[in-house]
Amino acid sequence: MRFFKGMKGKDAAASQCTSNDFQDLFKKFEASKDFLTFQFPDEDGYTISYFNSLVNAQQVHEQVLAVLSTHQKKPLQQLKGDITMEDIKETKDIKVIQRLILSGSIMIQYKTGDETCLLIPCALDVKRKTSIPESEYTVAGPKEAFVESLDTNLNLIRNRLPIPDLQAKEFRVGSISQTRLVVLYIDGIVNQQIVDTVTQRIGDIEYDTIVDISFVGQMITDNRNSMFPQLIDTERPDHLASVLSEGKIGIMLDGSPHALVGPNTIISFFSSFEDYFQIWNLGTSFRLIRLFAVLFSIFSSPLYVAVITYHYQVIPTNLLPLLISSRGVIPFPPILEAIVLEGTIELLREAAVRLPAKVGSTIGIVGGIVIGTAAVEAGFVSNVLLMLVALAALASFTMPIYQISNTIRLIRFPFLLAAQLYGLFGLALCSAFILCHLLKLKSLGSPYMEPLYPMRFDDFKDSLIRLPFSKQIKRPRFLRTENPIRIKKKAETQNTQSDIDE
Amino acid sequence: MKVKMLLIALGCFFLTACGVEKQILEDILIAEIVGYDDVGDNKIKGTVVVSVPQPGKEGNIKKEVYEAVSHDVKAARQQENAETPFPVVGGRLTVIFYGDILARKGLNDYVDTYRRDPIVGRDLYLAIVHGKAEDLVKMETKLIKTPGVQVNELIKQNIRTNLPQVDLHTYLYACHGKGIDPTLPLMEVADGRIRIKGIALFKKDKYIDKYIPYEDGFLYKVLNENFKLGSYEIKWSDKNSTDISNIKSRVHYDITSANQDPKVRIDVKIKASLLEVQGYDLSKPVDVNKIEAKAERILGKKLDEMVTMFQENNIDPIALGDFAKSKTRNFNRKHWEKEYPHMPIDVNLDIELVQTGIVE
Repeated sequence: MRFFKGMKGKDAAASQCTSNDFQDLFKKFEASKDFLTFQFPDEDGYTISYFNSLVNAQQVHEQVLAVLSTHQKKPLQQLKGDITMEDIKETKDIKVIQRLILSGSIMIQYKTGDETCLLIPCALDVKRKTSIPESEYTVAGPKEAFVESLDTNLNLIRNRLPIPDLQAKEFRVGSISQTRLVVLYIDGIVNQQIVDTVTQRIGDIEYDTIVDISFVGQMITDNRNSMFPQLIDTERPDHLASVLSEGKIGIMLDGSPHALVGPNTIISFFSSFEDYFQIWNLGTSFRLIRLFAVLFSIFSSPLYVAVITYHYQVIPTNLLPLLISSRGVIPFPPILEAIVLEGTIELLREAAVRLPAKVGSTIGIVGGIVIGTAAVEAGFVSNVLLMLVALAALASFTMPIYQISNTIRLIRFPFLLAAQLYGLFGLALCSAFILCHLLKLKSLGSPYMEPLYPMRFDDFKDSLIRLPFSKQIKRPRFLRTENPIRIKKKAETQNTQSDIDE
Repeated sequence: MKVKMLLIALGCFFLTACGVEKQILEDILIAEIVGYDDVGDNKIKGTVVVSVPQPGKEGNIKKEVYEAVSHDVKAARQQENAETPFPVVGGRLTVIFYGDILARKGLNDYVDTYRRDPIVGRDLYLAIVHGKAEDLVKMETKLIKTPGVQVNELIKQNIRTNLPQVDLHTYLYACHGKGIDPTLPLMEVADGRIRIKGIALFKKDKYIDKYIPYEDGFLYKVLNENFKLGSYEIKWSDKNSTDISNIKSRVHYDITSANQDPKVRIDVKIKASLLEVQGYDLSKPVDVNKIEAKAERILGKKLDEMVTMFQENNIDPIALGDFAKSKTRNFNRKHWEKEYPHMPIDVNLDIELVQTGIVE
C-alpha cells in the first residue's frame, strides 16, 4: 500500500484530467477515433459531439437527431424542452462535462467553441441478462444472480425490499476507473456505527482501477493479512436481501456480479443459504455435517502424518496390519507422501479451474484414475492416504462460500508441518495458534467467533444450528441493530387449533 | 520486533524438532505378545512375538519370534534388539504371559517396568501359563489374525462370561491395594490350541499354585461382580444335567462388626433362563420351583466351598477386606487379617428362573 501512497500526487495529476480549459479537453477527446463531432442539421446547425462507442445509436437517431431536424434552431435553453428525455443538463462546468460525456452523454453546443452546452444522457448499456447463480447454486430457491450492471443489481434488491428505508449510499472509487460503488443498508435497522465504519474505509481506498468487488473487499476488511475472509462475497440477491433485513450491510460495485456482505461470524461462512429453504431440522443437520466436513478436511491428512510418524499406539488393532502393509513399500516418510499427494490434488484443482469446461472433464479422468491408481501401484503413496486425501478434498468442496474453501485448502499445510515436527502435540499447538488468530479477528468491528466467543446463547438460534422461523424473533445480537425485534407479534404457538371448526 | 519474535519461535521449532524421536510405523517392530519364563540362576527368558505384515499384500502376516535371556525385562528387550532389523517397541502389547514357576516367585519385578512405561497401555492383559510361557508364545495360531489379536480376543471374549477383569490396571490395583488379592487367567496349550485353564489365584504378587477351573469361573464371577452373561451346567446326577443361562446377576456384601467379631453375608441373586433340561416337565410351574430349589442347593454348596477355599489359603480375591474398610469407621486392618481365615462367611443364593423358552 505504501508504494501507491507515494505515487499518489503524480497519479492524480496524470489521470484526473482537471484541465480548466474547455479546448484542452476537447482536444483530448478528439485524439480518440471513436469521438464524433459534427454539425447538425446543416453547416449552421448545432455542434453535436459524443463518443460513438458509449452512446445508444438508436436513441440518438430517434430522440435527439429527429427532434433537431424537425425544429428550427433555437437557443439551448428552449431546446431542452423539445427533447423528450430525462435528466438533461445545461452546464459549462468542465468537470461535469467530462464525466457525463465519458459516461455516454451527447453534447450539444449552440455553435462550435461555445463553453455552455447541453448534455443528454444516451448511454449504451451493454449488459448480460441475469442468469442462474453458479458458485452458490441451490436446488431450491430463486435462480437469479447478480450481473455486472449495478443498476440491474439494485433493481433486484429493491424489488425484494420495497421500503423507503432501504438506502443506497453511492461512492466513486479508483482514481482512474471512478467506479460506482453502492453501500446498501436498511435505515432504522442497521447499526449506524457499521455504516460509518464502512463509509470511512471506503473513503480511504487509494487505488487507480477498481474492477471487482473483491478489490474493495481486500481493502476495507479488518485484517488484511488474514487467510480467513471476513466479508462474504455473494452472488445471490435473495441472500443479500435477507441479510440486509437482518441488519447487515451490503456493498455493490458497478461491473462486479457479486456483493459484499458484512459483518459476519465464522459460522456464517459454513452456512449455505439453502439451509433456510429446508425445514429447520434438516437444515441444522446439513449445517452440522458441513462443519464436520471442515474439521475432517483440515485434520485428516495431518492426523495421518502424526499418527504414522509418532503415535503407532493409537491405531486400532484391526487397522494395523492393513496400514503397515500399505505403508511398507513406500520409499518416502509419511510427511513427503502426504505433501506429494496433497500437492497433486491442488494441481488437479487448479488445472480444472483454468481449463475450459469442455476439456475440464478429462482432468477428472486423468486425476482420478491415472494419477491415483498409478501412484499407488508405483508405490509412491499408500492407498489409505490416497483415500483420506480424496475424502478431505471432497469435504472441502462442501463449503458453500468459495473464499472459505480456498482457506481450508491451504490451511492444511501448516498443520501438516506441525504434525511432522511434533505429532499430535504439534497439531494441538497449531490449532491453538489458529484459534488465537480467529479469536482476535473482527469483521467490520464485530467479533468473528461470536456466538462461541463471546458466548451469546441467543445467537445460537441461527449459527451452528438453525431453529425454525418462529424462533427467530430477534435479530442477531452481534449486529447491535437499532431495532432488534424481528417478529412483532409473538408467533402463534403451533397450530394447536384446527383451521376449520368441526 | 514481531519479525524477531517470529524468528525466535521458528528457531525453537526447528531446532528442537531434531530432538523428537520418530517412530514411523513401518520402521519399528511392534511387539504383540511377550512371555517371560524362569530359567534358573536368577535369570529370565523373554520371548516376544512380532507380527510382520508383508508389504503390498493385505492380510498376509508373518510371525517372527525373538528370544533373549537376562536378569530383567528391559535388559532382555535390549538383547532382542541385537537380532532385529528395527527396534522392538511395546506400545501395542496386548498380552503378557508369565510362566507359572516365575509367577510363584512373585511378579512385581517383572510387571514393574510395564507399570512405569507411559507407552504401554493400561488395558493390556496379563496371564499365567501352565508350563512354559515360551511354548504358548511360539504357538502357531490357526486363524488368519496376528497372534496378539487372537489371544487378546480369546481373553476378552471370556471376560464377558467366565473371567474377572484381568487387565494391567486391575492387576496393579489388586496387587497394591489392601484387603484385596489379584487373580489372573491361567492359560495352557492343549491339542495345539491355546486354552484357558482357569483362574489363577494370588497372594499379593505370588501365584499360590491353586486355580479355579474354567467351568467354575462363572461361579467366581457371580461372587465377584454384577454381570449379565454366562451360563453354568448343573449336574443333578451322573446322567442328568441342566444348563442355566444368566440374564442378570447381582451380588451384595453385608459385613457386620468388622472390628470385633466380623461376620460376612454374601447375597447373590441370579435371574436365569433355563433352556436345556433333562428329566423335568417345564410346562408345570411346580417343576420350575423344584428346579430352582435344587439349583440353589447345588450351586450354594459350590459357592460355600469356594469361599472356604479362599479362607483356607488366606487370600481375598473378592476383596472383602477392601469392602469392609470402606464400610467401617476406624477399620482395624490387623484385626481383620487375623480373623479372616476363620470368620463366618455365609453365601445366600437366590435363583429365579424367568424364562423357560418356547413351550408348545
